[in-house]
Amino acid sequence: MIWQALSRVERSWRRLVDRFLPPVATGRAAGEADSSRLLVSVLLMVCLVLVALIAAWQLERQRSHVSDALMLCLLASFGLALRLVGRGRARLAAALALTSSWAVLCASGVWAFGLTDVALPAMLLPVMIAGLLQHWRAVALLSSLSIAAAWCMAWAQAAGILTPRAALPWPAALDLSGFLVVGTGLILVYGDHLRGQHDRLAAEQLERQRVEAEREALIAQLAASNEALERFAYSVSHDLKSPLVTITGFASRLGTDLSSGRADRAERYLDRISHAAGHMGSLLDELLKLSRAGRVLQTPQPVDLGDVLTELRALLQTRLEAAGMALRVDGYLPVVRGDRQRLLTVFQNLIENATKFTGGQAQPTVTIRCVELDMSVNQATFAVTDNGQGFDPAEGERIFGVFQQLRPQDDGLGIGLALVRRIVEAHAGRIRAESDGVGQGACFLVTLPLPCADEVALS
Amino acid sequence: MNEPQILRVLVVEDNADHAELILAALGESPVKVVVAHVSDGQEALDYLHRRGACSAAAGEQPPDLVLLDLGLPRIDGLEVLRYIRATPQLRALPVVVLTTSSNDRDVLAAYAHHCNSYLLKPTDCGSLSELLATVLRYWTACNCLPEAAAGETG
Repeated sequence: MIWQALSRVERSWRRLVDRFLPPVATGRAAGEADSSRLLVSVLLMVCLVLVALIAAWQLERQRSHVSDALMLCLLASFGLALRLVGRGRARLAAALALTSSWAVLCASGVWAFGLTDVALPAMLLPVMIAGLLQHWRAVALLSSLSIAAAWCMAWAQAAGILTPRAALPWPAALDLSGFLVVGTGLILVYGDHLRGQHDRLAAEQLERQRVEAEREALIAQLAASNEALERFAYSVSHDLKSPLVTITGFASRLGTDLSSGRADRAERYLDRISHAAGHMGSLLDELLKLSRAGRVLQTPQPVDLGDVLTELRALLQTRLEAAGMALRVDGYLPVVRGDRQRLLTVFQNLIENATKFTGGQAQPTVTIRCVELDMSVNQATFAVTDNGQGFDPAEGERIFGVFQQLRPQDDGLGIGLALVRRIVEAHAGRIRAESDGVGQGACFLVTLPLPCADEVALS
Repeated sequence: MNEPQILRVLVVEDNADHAELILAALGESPVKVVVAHVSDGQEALDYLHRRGACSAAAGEQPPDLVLLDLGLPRIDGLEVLRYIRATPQLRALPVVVLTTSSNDRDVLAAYAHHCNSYLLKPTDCGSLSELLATVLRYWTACNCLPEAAAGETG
């Protein structure tokens, strides 16, 4: 019963607070913002009650010119402080308000209690310092302590423990408390406002920095892709020309032979020509495949790599068996974000690459596992490790080149890893190859993006 | 006119078809040549130093001319060129780069490593023989000059 009544009071109080002190949308924790707003509102309420009490009291008693003058001074300084806050000079305003409170208190302390009683004004010094430091909770706490001290002193005076020069104990304490509370309340309210503004500025600054970083990253990405394009164009011009040299060279020889009536080498030359033409055709096909791979066709979606590998195991079964190779998946593979078909191609090419270069290993094995899960950048790194032939670490970058083969006798066209890199980079990922040397096995480290939180929830 | 001499040529070429075409073109040239063919950079260096499997094939003296492809397995063409120019007894060896790459970067790099000339493998009919014949005539003429001969033997 009582609890219900209390909670109702609490609810209506919160509504009132919400109306008069609307929450500031900031980067701070909501709980902290809420508690400081509540504190400010309580203090304001208390000060309003006190000001009303003081007004009633003052009407009933003989007012002194000195106390009126001090009150006016204090009001003027608070007004000035408010103007300063309005102009964004909040620290200065807080300093002014606190210094004037302190000065008035000193004056009234001297007036009411005599020079010997300097304890009360001295107590206000910490409030002022806290205000200057914008530590609003400390301001509230210290000013309440000062008020308590003032009332204690007034009581001591009334009880005859203290003997002041002028006998005005209670009104002085009341005036003092009233001003202190109003001042503290104002400081706190504007402090909160100020902090909101500060947080907004900080958030804007962060946003600017983020946009800037994004722009830089985009420029770097563009430069990298430009460079890749250049490398690509270079390889293409070089490697596509090569069969052309063969074709035109043998065609010319064939022409010379035929014009001089020799036909014995014609068949061999024709064979060379058609072989080179066929090679050129397959190079063009692979190039086409490569250029298509650079575009992610489907909108990125969560892709379960565990599933992908199960599918690949079935797809590559004959190939794995032919190479006598074991495909192992170590531990759990997280869901990544991308184009499923393309990602399948990535792992297919990497596994096929391992089956191609077993290096005469008796028990060739390729292992796939997740080696790093970086939630801060939302990326996962996978290692495709084999115990096969490996490569010279100096060649770690070259093996991703278009039509690059480390040894001329290797089969294939040297496009598989170029394709893998292109797909991974189209997914904003990275790939690098590591090996301790020829015969030491190779490790391909593929970094891919993880799905966003809402996509995980959906999947 | 100088007496006819035999030019010793080393062809460094990894593509078997290209090698065959180059060897045939050299064989047809009016200048008499002795041709050796190696198919990668490492073999080229072995040949020049008369090491390993190449020790028998290589003559007493370094070749008179090297026809060098750029994209080579094991040791790259530019690396072979750099090595030749950095080795005192090979430094004066004439090196003609013969490649498919018309990329400026490759041309500049080859000349930066002091190749004697940079030639593109022709992709139109009939000019490889003529090209190589011209090259051979040129280097034969150069070899007959007393300074060049002195430079090479010394």
